[in-house]
Formats: sequence, structure tokens, C-alpha cells
Amino acid sequence: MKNIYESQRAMRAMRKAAMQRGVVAVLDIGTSKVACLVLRFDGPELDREVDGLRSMVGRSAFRVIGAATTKSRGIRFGEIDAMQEAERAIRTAIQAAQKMADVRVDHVIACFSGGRPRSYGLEGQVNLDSSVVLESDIGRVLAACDVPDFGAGREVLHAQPVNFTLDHRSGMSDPRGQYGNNLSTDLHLLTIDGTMLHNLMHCLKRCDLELAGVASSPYVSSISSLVEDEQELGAACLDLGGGTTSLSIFLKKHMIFADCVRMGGDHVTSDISMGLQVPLSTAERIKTFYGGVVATGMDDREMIEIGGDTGDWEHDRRSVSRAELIGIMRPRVEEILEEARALLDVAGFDSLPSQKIVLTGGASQIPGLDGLASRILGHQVRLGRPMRVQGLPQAATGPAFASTVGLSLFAAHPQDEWWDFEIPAERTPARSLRKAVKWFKDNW
Amino acid sequence: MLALGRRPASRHDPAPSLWSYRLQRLLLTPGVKGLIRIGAPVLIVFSIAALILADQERRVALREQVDLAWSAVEQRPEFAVRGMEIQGVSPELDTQIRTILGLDFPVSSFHLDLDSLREKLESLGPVESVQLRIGGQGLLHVDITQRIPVAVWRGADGLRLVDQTGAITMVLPEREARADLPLVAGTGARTHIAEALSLIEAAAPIREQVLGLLRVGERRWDILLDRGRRIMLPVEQPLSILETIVVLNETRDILLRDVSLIDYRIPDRPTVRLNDVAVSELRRITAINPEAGQ
Repeated sequence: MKNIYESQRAMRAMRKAAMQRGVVAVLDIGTSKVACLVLRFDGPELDREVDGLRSMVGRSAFRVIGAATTKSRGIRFGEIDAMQEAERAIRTAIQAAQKMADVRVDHVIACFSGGRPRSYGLEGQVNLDSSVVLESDIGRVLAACDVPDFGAGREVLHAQPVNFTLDHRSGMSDPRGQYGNNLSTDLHLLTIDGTMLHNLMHCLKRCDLELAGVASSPYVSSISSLVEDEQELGAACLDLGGGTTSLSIFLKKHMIFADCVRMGGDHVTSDISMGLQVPLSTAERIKTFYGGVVATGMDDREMIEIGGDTGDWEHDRRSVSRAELIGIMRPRVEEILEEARALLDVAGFDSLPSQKIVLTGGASQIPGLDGLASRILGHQVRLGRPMRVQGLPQAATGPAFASTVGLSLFAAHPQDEWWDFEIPAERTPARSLRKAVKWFKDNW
Repeated sequence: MLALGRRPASRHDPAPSLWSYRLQRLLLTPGVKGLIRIGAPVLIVFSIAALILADQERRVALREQVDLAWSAVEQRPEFAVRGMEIQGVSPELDTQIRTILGLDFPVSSFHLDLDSLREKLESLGPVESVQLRIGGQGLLHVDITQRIPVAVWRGADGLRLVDQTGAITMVLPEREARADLPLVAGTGARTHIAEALSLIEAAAPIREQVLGLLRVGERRWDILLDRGRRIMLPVEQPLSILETIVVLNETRDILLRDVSLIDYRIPDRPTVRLNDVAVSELRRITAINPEAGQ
């Protein structure tokens, strides 16, 4: 736990340094694309009273000055699969974004969806020394959380205090300065596979970049796709990506659950490829142009030329009806949504006050998906697009960029995490004293 | 039969190589960027100029070109000064100024050094200050403020006219030429002309008898009267003492008496020196009447 704390703190310090320099890049490493935005921070938001309305609720403190997307390589299920290829993809995206921004970026905040994220709800409780909750008490109660055994080789990606309870008052977001005797907290812990994180760090190091923060993709895409009241009242965000479909549940503006289905749009494409006997690129093209999940009578008559490049006339002049295509796509999409439904059931989404589900991500653009999703997931389903941020190019405003945009919002205003609070003072001196004694023993 | 279809085109890899990526990042580093955008062009321009000017002949030719262009500008009629207009002087000073300046018109205004001309004119005695400007019609306007002589000063080598500040305006051939001005003499008299003038003004009632003022020991004044008489004034407040003497003259006719010297150097102890005749006459009278001398 300790070294995670230290490394995350180091990343926070790096983020602060990047803020002072004013330029930071966000990097969304997805299975189908690697997107990079270069953000410029110009200090606090300008007050624009002239318009009569505040701009973007304090979220426009940054401006996107460079954006680039490239097809990702060497990444499967949101995890780095072939290091060299992934590194090249990252370099391509970074270089193009740098070129557009005309500045050199040294600090990168990255997100990815793989690594089998797992959520834990932790509880901690302390008795207060003084009758007032101090900053150090927050650190103490966070350190007092009993950490479950989440397995070797797993690392903590997020550890956010979700709720504070002071004596018998629950649901506090910030108990500092309040009177009470007994402080307890609920901590949401998200762990991922540690090797995944180390691979990413290594990749970025080889690109001469400093990692200034890591976020989980379901978390950041829900930051950008859920509107404020959805985050407050409770909602699930389903990010239908290329290799993974990630799910996160928000309540009271905190993420309380995140998980990931290891299936996504790429699997639909490979189904089409196998079903129609076409290469993957053609399958992808057919999917984006003609894809759908609800067949109508019209679709039986609409024929799609699927072509080919073999030289065999019969093979190259094949065509399928759109209904057939939908017949291939629909079972896979249904499977993905049912897996997501299972995850929601595991998380106990039914017991939440609001049953809102927001679909975002590149695969959410399949026509008719909202109808299918509302049959499987529940009635309150909507398609979400990321919110607008300043300077974002039009090409990067689609739902496929939900996690990219969310990551830039996360870069500008990260939520408090466990490592933002000082670790209790009574632990550190004992340890350093022990270290000093050990050093003496070793040397004399 | 071989397939004649399109060959699989070699797919271009969009990814930059590690070194091109590093090079691009280096070029985007602020210092390097500035060096290349500003430093390199400046260096190129300077080195080209240096290469061209390295040849002596080219430098000389360039210098000639520049001189030619410059003299062409200088010789333009817009810059020509065709005459001089002198204001505020007497005719003789006018001719004197013209000979001193020695300008032969027309002359280019670039060649006129107005500062040195003004210094030349201000070194002239009668001139207090000079304003020089080149006017619109190609005329050099010389506005001169002349010194006004207020006294005649007798120096070791003759008479001079001096103004309020003691500056010499001109040489006076003879005293009678300016009989209206008072005469001052003595070392340091020129620096106290204003005081001398106030004394002369105070001595207006005895104006006919006053010959002039003499500065004694660079600290006090003597008033020289006709018939070799003299009034010695103190260092401190000579004016009020002189007024006392004038009043004394009006009431007691002190200057009508046979007195050769009135010594007021110590105001508390004024002394009068009588002529020999007066002394013997006084002795005679006091011998007759011992109370007459009181």
C-alpha cells in the first residue's frame, strides 16, 4: 500500500509541475484508437459576466491546443499487447498533437480500460483526538481503512473517499472543521493488474514522457458523458469501446463501482469478418456504413456489395442484404449488453435511487442501439456524448472521444484521492528511525 | 496465369522513428525553437554582409555611394540657406557679426553648426544672448539681445562700458562720450556694479559733485568728489550711511565746508578731515572762543 501511495503522490507532484508549466497532454490508449489532446492551462477561468452565464461551470480553465488520433496497434482489450507497436502508436499520436499545438509536451496523463479493473468498497473508522475534524484526521481515517487482499500483482488506480460519517451523521462530502467524536469513511478502491500499469509506464518512458497521472477509462468517460444531475442522483455509464465495454456507476458525484466487459466493437467487426468472409478492414467499413441492430422489412431489400480482392469473379461480386448484416451484429451486441446487465446486477444497481444508464463510446453509434439497450438494461437509457471543452476540434466531439475529453476534465480538476491527504504523522518517524538504526547496524 | 491485379501497395507506416520523434521534440523546445527562428536568419544575414564587406574595394565603393547620395540630399534647394536676418542690434554690430560668422551664402543647412555659431556670437562683448534658427524661406534668423551699458569702468588700460552684471560691452575711447553714465574704478568694482548703481542713485542730490566710485581693497566703496574730496563708506550697509551723509549735507551743508575727507568706515565713529586752511582757521577761532569748536 505504501509504495502505491508514494508513487501516486509523485504523480500528483508531477501533475502540479505540469500545471505550472501550463501544458500537459492527455493520452487515451484504447483498443481501436490512441487519442492525444494537448491542453494549455491559463490559470483561473476568466469571469465572463457579460454573457450573463458562467462558462462551463469552472471547467474551461484549460484549452485544447492540439489533438491527434491514430489507429492503435499492439493493444488488445485495452491492454498493451505488443510493446513496440503500442509505443509507435503513442509516438504517432503525441507527435501529431505536438505539431498541431506547436509546443513540446513533457507530461502526460493517461487512461486505459484494460487490466481487469475491480472495485472494492472499504470502510475505516477513527476516534478523533480533538473534537474538531482536522485535515490530518482525514488522512488518518483513510489510512485506517482495512484493505482487502486484492491479490498479488495488482495495483490501486483510484482510491476515492466517497462518503464520510461523523458520529451519526452520514453522507458528508467534507467533514473538515466539524465537531464530532467518531469519524468513519467509505473508500472506493479500484485495482487493476499491476503489469499493465508498468507496461504503460515503460512505454511512456521510452517516448521521453513523464507520467503525471493515470486514470481508469470508465471513470473518465463518465465524467464527460454524465451530466451533473446524473452524477449526483446516480447513473451508470456504459462506455462501448473497441476492445472492452467498461461500466462505471456514479452516485453523489463519486464513482462507486467500475468494471469491464472484455468485449467491444472489435468483436462485432470480427464477427462480421468471419460471417461474411471479408478482411477486417472491409468488415469495419461495412459495420460503420451499414451496421445496425434492429432489422426492418426494408433491410431485406437493401443489398450491400461486400466485394473482394481475390480475382475470383464470383467471390469478388458477393453481396449481402443489410438484414443479414444485422443478423450477425445483433447477437454480439446483445451479448455485450447482457454482460453489462450482469455487472450491473452484481453491483446492485437496482437498489440505486436512479436507474439512468448512459451509453457512450465508439460502439454506441450503432443505429438502433438505444432501443436494444433499453430492452436489456432498463428504460432509462440515453446515448451520451462528451461535453464540449474549449478548443476541441469538431472531429473529436463524438462519443468515441468520451474518455479522452473526460481525461482532460480529470486532468484539470482531479477528485480528491487517498494520496492527496498526508499520511498520519505517527507512522513515518518510527519507520525512518528504524531505517536509520538499520543503516547503523549495516555499516558498523 | 498470374494474377494481374493491383499489387499490395507497401503500406506507409505513419509512426515516426524514435530519432525523428526526438528531433521533432528537440525542435519544439522553446530555446531551440527561438534559436532557429531568430538566431539562424540573423546569423545568415550577418555572415553574408560580412562576406560582402570583407573586400576593401567594395567597402570604398560603398562609402562613395553613400557619400554621393548624402551630398545629393544636402545640395537640394529645400535645405539651402540663402541669407541671414539679424534682429535687435545696431548697424555697426550687424556688420561686425556678419564678418565674424563669415558665411558665404547659399550654404546647406546640414553644414551650419548652429551651436558653434551661437558660441561664437555669445563671446562678443555687446551680445548677451543669441537665438539662431533656420526659417522657412531659407533665411538664418539671428535674434540677439544686446547688453545695455549702465556704467563706465576705468581699468588699467582705459575705459570700458559695463552692463548690470559687470560684463564689458565695448571699449570707450573717452569719458565724455558717455558722460551720462557713472564712473566706477578699482579692483573688483566690475563684480559689484549693481551695488555701485544703487549708491549712485542714493547720491543723486550731490550728483554734480560726484566724480565716480572707487572700489577699495575689493570690499568697500569710496565716493570721489570734485576738488579731491572723498567719502569713505563702510563695508556693511554703505547705502544707509550714504543716505545719512546726504541728509547731513542737506541740513548742515557738510560738503560746502572745507572738508577733504569724510571717513565713515566705522559707522559709530565718523571722522572728518579738514584742509590746512580750515584747520588753522579753526584753531584761530577756538583760541578766541574755546566753545566755537564744539
